[in-house]
Amino acid sequence: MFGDSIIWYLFLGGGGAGAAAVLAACDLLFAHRSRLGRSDRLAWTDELSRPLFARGYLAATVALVLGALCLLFELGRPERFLYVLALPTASVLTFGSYVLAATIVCAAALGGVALFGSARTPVVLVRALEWAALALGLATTAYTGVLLAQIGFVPLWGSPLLPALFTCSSLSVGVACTMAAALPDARRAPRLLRALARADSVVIAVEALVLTAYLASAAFGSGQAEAVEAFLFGPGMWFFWIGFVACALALPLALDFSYTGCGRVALAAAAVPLVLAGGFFLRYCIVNVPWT
Amino acid sequence: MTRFGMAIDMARCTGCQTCVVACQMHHALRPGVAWCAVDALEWGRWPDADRAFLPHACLHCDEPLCVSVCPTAASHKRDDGTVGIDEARCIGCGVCLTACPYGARTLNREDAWHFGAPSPAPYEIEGEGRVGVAEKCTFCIERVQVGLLPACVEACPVEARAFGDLDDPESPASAFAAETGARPVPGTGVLYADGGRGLDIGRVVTERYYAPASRSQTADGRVGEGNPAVVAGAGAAAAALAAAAGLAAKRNRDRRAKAQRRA
Ligand code: SF4
Ligand code: SF4
Repeated sequence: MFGDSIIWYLFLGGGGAGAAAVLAACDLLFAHRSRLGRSDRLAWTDELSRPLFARGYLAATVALVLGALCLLFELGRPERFLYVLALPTASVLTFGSYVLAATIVCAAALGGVALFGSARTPVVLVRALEWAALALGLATTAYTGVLLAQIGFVPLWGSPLLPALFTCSSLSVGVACTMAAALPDARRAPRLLRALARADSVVIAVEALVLTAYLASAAFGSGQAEAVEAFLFGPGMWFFWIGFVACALALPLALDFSYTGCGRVALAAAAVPLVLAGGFFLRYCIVNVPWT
Repeated sequence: MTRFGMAIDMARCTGCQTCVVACQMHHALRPGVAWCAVDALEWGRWPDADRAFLPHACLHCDEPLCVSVCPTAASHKRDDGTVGIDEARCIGCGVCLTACPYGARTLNREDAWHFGAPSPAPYEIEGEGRVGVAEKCTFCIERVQVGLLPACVEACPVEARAFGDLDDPESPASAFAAETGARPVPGTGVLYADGGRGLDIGRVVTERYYAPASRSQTADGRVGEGNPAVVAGAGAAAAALAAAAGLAAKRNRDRRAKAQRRA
């Protein structure tokens, strides 16, 4: 029953939650480090700015809301959507709906603080929201993987590494969104963009490792070698190789490295849409895994 | 404890579809919806060929995945072993359709009546709420609870189906299974006798009828023009190029402006 809209749901929900988590983590890191002496501070965190957070949280909120709408409009009875929250069960979708809704609230509130906050905004509240955004964002990204992983008889879905893969991908999309939000200030804040590009390469490297482990465990651990082969070399193989491996892993990694090397902002700017497209295609490939 | 189940003998089934129609009429199903199906299986090449009819519907699994994924508990497992759907609670999210390994569920979105009528005929009223919700075979629980047989079992002209308590060795279903050699599809409440063909019925049903996530996109239909994924990919690549080109141009301009100012 999952159609194309589930791919958008997984992508927008995961990516938006990843962005919220990354932004919250940035500010928490800044807050934590700023209490230390000057020498222990991370230089790039000084370049975090309110416009950056405003742009970032706004994008995250919009992505999360759009993702939720993708699922909502696909419901056979959209007017009953509140049943999911009002008649809770121990199902994965119920858990996901709660954490997704709560992530939207946190991201929107933090966006509001960045836009309209003043010196009188209680710091404790902001910190609490940021911790919540971090935890809920991570929970949402993992949930998007668990939603598929629980339907374990579908080839390649029933793996505990699938949520890990989706989490890495969502975080990479989240870092890319934060990079996009930092681009307009790239000149004033070069160290920030550089730190983000570095973070992006680390996340992508981890993602590549998890992908390898995921496919290897499916092929050799759970005896789905045929499914893995069809996934890698079947009719839809180019969606995987170009759409995901090239767009989400190889190209952005190369671009991030060259950016940190030579500092040309255009390189970082080119990585952003590639990571986003790659994140979409990962979901596309997994949702459409071929039946063997 | 009671554990209702059904035994089906494929050696007797003639593929007449009486059970399908009996079910549709008994439950006032909407146009195009069928909770049970009888499909022809054919394989091999003459003279080593064979043909058999496979009646199938919800198998009322012992630990149904459709129930554990349901976010509203609309899908539920009863103490008597049957799996039901409370249609007033169902939001039509369709997760259970993807989670059912046997393609047993339908989600009909069209609020239509037979023969194009604008409103239901009196005998169609029962199906009024069944739009945009998941539906499937109920083992005719409302008939069973008053001591009747499921409509399909009663209607079958060649007695290819039997129904009863699988935990009771004397029940019609157990007796029928003993007589025909029907064996359960593992983990479910339905037994099949395949006339000695050695079929793996659970596997056959999953392979042929599971509603994969990508039902709308078959392997060859995937790479078409206008495919949203292709468009999205091309769009992203174009955006990447544009972003890089735009920033590079801006940089050059700034640099030139600076050089001019200096000059
Ligand atoms: S056959 Fe499908 S619908 Fe029926 S109980 Fe099993 S999983 Fe649920
Ligand atoms: S479609 Fe209805 S029965 Fe199926 S999982 Fe969703 S709410 Fe539950």
